[in-house]
Amino acid sequence: MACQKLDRSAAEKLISETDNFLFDCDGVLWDGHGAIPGSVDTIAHLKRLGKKVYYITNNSSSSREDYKKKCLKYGFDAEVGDIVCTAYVGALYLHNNNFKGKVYVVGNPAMGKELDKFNIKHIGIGPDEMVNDDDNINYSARVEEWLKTQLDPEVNCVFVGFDPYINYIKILKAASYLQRENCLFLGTNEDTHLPTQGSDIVIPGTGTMVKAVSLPSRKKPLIIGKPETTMFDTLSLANNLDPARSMMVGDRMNTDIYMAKRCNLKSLLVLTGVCTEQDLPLNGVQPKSFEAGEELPDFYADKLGIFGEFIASL
Amino acid sequence: MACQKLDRSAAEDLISEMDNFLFDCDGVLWNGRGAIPGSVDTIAHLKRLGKKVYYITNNSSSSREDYQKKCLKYGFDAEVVDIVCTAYVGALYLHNNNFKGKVYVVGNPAMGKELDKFNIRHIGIGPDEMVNDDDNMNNSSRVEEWLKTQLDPEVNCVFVGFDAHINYIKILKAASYLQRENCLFLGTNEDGHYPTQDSDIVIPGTGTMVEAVSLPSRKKPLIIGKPETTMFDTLSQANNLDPARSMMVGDRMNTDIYMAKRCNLKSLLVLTGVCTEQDLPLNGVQPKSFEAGEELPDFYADKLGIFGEFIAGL
Repeated sequence: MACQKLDRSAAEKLISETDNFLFDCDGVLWDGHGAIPGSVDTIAHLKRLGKKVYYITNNSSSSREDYKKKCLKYGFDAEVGDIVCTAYVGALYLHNNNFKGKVYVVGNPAMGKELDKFNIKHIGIGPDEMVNDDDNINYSARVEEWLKTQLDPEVNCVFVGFDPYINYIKILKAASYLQRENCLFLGTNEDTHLPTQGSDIVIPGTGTMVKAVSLPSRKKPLIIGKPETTMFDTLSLANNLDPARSMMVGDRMNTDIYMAKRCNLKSLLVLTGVCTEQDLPLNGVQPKSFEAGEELPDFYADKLGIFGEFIASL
Repeated sequence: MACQKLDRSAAEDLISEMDNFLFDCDGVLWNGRGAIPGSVDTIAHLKRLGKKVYYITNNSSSSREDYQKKCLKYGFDAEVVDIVCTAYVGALYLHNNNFKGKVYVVGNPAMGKELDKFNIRHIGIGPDEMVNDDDNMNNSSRVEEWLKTQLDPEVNCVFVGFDAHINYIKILKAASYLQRENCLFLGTNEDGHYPTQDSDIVIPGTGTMVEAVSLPSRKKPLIIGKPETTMFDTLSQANNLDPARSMMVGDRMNTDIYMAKRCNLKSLLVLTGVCTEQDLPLNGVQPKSFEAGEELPDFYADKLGIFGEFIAGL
């Protein structure tokens, strides 16, 4: 039976049946206020019990090295080899597929860093203002200017990730490059927003940039991040993971848990991030909330620290 | 039988059966290079034959007065009341629904002008840069800055149209306002891109702005433009049009023809804009092209001027 509230007995069983624990980070290990109480202890217990711990995040604004620093800052012990993040896995994907050419990046410096590591040429990161833009320019005059946009003839891949400088001209360029035959289209992830506790501000996620490029280009991207399986496959290949003895812990049903299901991993949903109790089935009926995917976790808990408490004395 | 190539006999039947002809403009009457050959003559013949001519466009960057000037510029005789465009119909919708409050507009000055005419207060039009933005800011600092964004407490409607200044902070504000209970969400139209003959540049359409706001807000907008029926309903009410004696002429199956079907109008698809021969059914089989909707027109012609040639001698 799916979606059981995690209890001591289930926690002890998981310890005996699972070697590898994969953690989404935002909303599971930390949030805007810092490390979530109990998460550091839980990871420490798992390591003490000889388990392998991995960090698997859709965040595209950090390289693996950046992410390791972030983990250490919050008190989580991590090596670069324990981390998969979308900037890295996207660049790795291109490398593994013998990509030759140039990438137009609608993204951020971390994506550039990861592409540089594989000597993949790229342009586009950072602000891009329209020349000759004037508030009094009418629409037709603007269209004339846009039609004069210079495209780089070498670009044969568009890679979209989190871009705080997203704007019209970048979307125009990306959509234009994507009309080229054989131009690849990669997106790091499609998360709609980042959870913000107690704030009335919505922080739009990378899904915004990916959709903004996909629609006018009329192309669909290959998505690197959860819920696609690429990130688990990458980690699994590098670390020889047995899915039957691996568990994913996340806060989003439509990314973390969905990927876990597709990879045949066990799954634990914690309610300290995007999903709340309202997203769980009530009396066997799945709610029609935006976040509730069709994918139910094996277990859920109010926070990761509950799992830690159950295994503290093992 | 649907999707017949317009011939002289069908054209003559249409003249005897139709009183009202509604024209999409871009790709039907004019394109980037000017009036499409034959279109001015066709409109002139229809008026000579005592028919009513209306202009019905999803373009949100023009007020009705702007659009009248545009029609006259290309040689098409138009009064303001013959025109429905989405900036006007959106403002009218709010007026007809007794809107009280303030609108956050992700759009353009024409939308502002139409809202002003109904004394509807609005903010947001024009550029909006993030204060304290610095290329070297890391993502966490940016998130901290974004979380300090000041929202206007009076806003209870978000109205999205074509916005050349679309950027992250505007998307953030719109998505944040939309979390308010009872905040309305209007979008002018969802056109993904605008046709550009012989250019390798894609001009992203308003659909880009609407999706960019809809995704992080997790709300769906009420769409004013085609293929929704609001624009025909507005025109019909103001001019007492009988759908059974009205025909829509457009270049996009998934907007113009789809709206025509929903309103029970006859329809003619011309191939001088977005749709091409590749989007038409071949041997009764509908192609799976992006533009091909499930809605087939009654008739199609290479250009509107063909219709004009058939009726010139009447």
